[in-house]
Amino acid sequence: MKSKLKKVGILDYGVGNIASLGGALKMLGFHVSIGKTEASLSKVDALFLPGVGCYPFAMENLRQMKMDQFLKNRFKAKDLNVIGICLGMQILFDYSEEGNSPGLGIMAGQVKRFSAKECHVGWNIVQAKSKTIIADKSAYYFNHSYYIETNEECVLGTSNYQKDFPVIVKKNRFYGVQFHPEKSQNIGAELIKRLVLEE
Amino acid sequence: MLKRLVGVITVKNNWAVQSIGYKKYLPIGRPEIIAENYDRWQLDEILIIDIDRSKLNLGPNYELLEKITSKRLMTPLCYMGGIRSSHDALKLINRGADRIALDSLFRHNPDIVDTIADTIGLQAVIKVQPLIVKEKEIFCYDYLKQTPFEKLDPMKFVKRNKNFSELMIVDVENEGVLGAFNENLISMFSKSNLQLICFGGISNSSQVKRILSNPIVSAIAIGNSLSYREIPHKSILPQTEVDLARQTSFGKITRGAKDW
Amino acid sequence: MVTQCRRCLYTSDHALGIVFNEHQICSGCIIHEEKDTLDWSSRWQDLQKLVSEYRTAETKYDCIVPISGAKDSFYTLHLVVNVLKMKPLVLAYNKYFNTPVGIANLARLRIAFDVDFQQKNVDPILVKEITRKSLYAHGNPYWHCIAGETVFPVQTAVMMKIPLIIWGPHQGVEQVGMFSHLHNAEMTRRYRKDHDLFGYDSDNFVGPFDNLKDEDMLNYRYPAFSDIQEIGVRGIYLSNYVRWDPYSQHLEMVGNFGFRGALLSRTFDSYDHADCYVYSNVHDVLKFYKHGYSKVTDQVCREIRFGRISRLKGLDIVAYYEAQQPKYMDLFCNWLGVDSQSLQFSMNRHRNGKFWDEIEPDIWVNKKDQAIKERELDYRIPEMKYPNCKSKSYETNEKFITIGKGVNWPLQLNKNTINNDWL
Repeated sequence: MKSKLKKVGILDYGVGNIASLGGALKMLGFHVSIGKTEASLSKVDALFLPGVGCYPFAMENLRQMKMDQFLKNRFKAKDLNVIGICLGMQILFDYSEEGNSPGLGIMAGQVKRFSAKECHVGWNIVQAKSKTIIADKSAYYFNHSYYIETNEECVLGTSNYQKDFPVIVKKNRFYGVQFHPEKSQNIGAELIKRLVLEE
Repeated sequence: MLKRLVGVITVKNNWAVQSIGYKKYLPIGRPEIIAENYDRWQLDEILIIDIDRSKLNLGPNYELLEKITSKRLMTPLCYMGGIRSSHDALKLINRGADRIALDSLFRHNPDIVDTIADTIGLQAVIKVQPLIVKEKEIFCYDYLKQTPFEKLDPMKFVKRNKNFSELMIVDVENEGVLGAFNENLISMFSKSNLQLICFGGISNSSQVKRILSNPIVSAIAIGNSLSYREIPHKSILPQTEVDLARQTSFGKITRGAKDW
Repeated sequence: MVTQCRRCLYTSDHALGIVFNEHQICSGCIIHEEKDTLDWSSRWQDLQKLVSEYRTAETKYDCIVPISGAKDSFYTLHLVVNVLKMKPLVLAYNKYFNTPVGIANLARLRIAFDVDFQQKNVDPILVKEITRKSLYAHGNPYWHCIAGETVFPVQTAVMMKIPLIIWGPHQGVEQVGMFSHLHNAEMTRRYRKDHDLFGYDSDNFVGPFDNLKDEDMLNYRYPAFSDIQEIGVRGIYLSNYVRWDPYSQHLEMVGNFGFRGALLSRTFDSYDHADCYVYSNVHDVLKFYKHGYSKVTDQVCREIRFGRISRLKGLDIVAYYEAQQPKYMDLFCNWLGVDSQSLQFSMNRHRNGKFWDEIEPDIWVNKKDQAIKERELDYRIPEMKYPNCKSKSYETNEKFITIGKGVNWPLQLNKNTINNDWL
């Protein structure tokens, strides 16, 4: 896949492992811009939304930064690959049980907590729905306590922990991955490249 | 869920060390180069334990984390040592740690641990419990005072509001002793519904196979013996289709120096 | 705050990292105690068992033994060939800093042990370029030597499919007790990058402003793990299985095989590094600049642990030899293509402020107790003899012949069987 895309942005909205994601992207040969405003991220070809931590806090930050509107605009304009990782994927949906918090509503669905306060931590296998950007039965690193419930056709792959749930979603040019590709070694690196370069 | 092998790096005085029985230490080298090696081996997770920080009330070792993240590793990283507050925890997460592990804070200030779990997420908190056998009874061990402090009651961990995702049990006496991990420690938790990481004297494949076959054990952690030879982990963990799923093989045999 | 061992002289500034116990005894001394407590005959049986898996009549070589013209090469090869009765392929890396004693030792070694021998010689122009970079950027002229010496056996093991590499001593164990002898620690890529190459392996040695390219480093590249795993390459250390005592071993090698040493300026030991005019001089001075101690301290600590030198005397020996001027600096400058002022400038960049004060521009003073310099130093060690050592390691009048094997020279000919007509 030949491509001229080289500039990748990371939205810093106060939640997330910017250091690791930035490091991984640089190692994969992309130019990385980390920014908080529309202006600082205007020239990128793909944008990552990292996310570790608290849903209401993340959404509140986005609203205050006015970047919630920015993301909704990008979704409509279809002019940019946006990839949400972990919490960054969950905020794309309607609502989360965590703090009864509304999300961006870009994809329909809600975020629920795993029962008995259990957490999905470690490497797990992804079942791909069909031939998509993700290889079937590949394994990635997960680290989360909440999961997505959705009927939307946006689901590209699922994993199983307590139940089957979506772990990779796509709508227009917005992707969401529940796992951490930047921590999934070889196979994560390949997926990141595909996510950035896919048109 | 796939069972994991966690590579442990014990740090004392900013040098990576072998830890033997929580008492004797032998120097190994630079933590960031060992972390780089673990990443090259594609271990499932790396756990860095800085054992000086709580003792000296120094807070977390951010410089150490920085040295390691500057190597741009793509392996999950856990940090332990000197975490005092949710501010410390969040700063570590923002600077490259995926999860944090706590021992003394659970004892001295469980309320702060609650706040940490709320801030960074329950999944990112690991509780570490060193255990020691005294007169055939299992006791919890206080590493700061170097003494057992109360008899182990696994149900005590679950009674309280859950503020950690996994429990790492450490066999203090057998730490640093090859193949000596006391598997009875695991059975103490069989009714508790907790997920365990086992650490302390785990070094050979038959031991690992037995320990991981236990449904409550989700991972094993190995420290010292990972430094003894070139590719130790391939002979310790059974190779399964999981490794294909993660492409953890070292790739094809090369055609020579050009490919090295 | 610097801690010093109560038994030997090592401090917490040791370059490999060191740990002290609650009695302020260093980890190196603690592990050294094993030399007198372990059952070495049982350890030897373990070694026999290990090598028996590799010992074979079928192939030409059942192991690789890396050597040089000094250190523990003779003893290692003696154990492998004469005692373990294995068939090694012997490898050496040409450091280009050879002394006549070193060359003579290499020759003698090959004759004494009847082995197949390969020496890697990298293009000297490239080696000089690498050395200029490692000297200026890292204060170490020895990068290519250690990189070459440690990787050549591994590359050969992969290329010739000889899995077992047998080394002599494990430096980390011997100096700072990095492992117990019982851990049977083996050669690792990690140790090489961490300690031998101070964090700079061939993959991150070349920078964007160098004249060097990645391809130039081909001879220093560690083989891929896939190859190492496929062939099962492993490097073992004899010092884990044998009570390793270099001084006694050297004496034995002098007596039995004619091993030679040389009197060096900055240390009392005449055997360990007589083969290289850089290691005991330029490299030793830089070690002093950067880490605050020199090779003589390593050797004194070793002999203190063996009970040949008292700690008190050790302090005097170190104080005396550390103050001696290095030799052959001009020779090194000439080889590298720099003048001595440039060399001093490059070296001064690496003076560690923890140990050195720049009292005036380019005038440096060591922070150690000046009082030591004033008193009469008891540095001579009459109890330790060093037979077969030339007065200087570099004699330019030494004559050499091309190595041939199997003749006593001059030839003893039987007059009756001389043939003068071959046409």
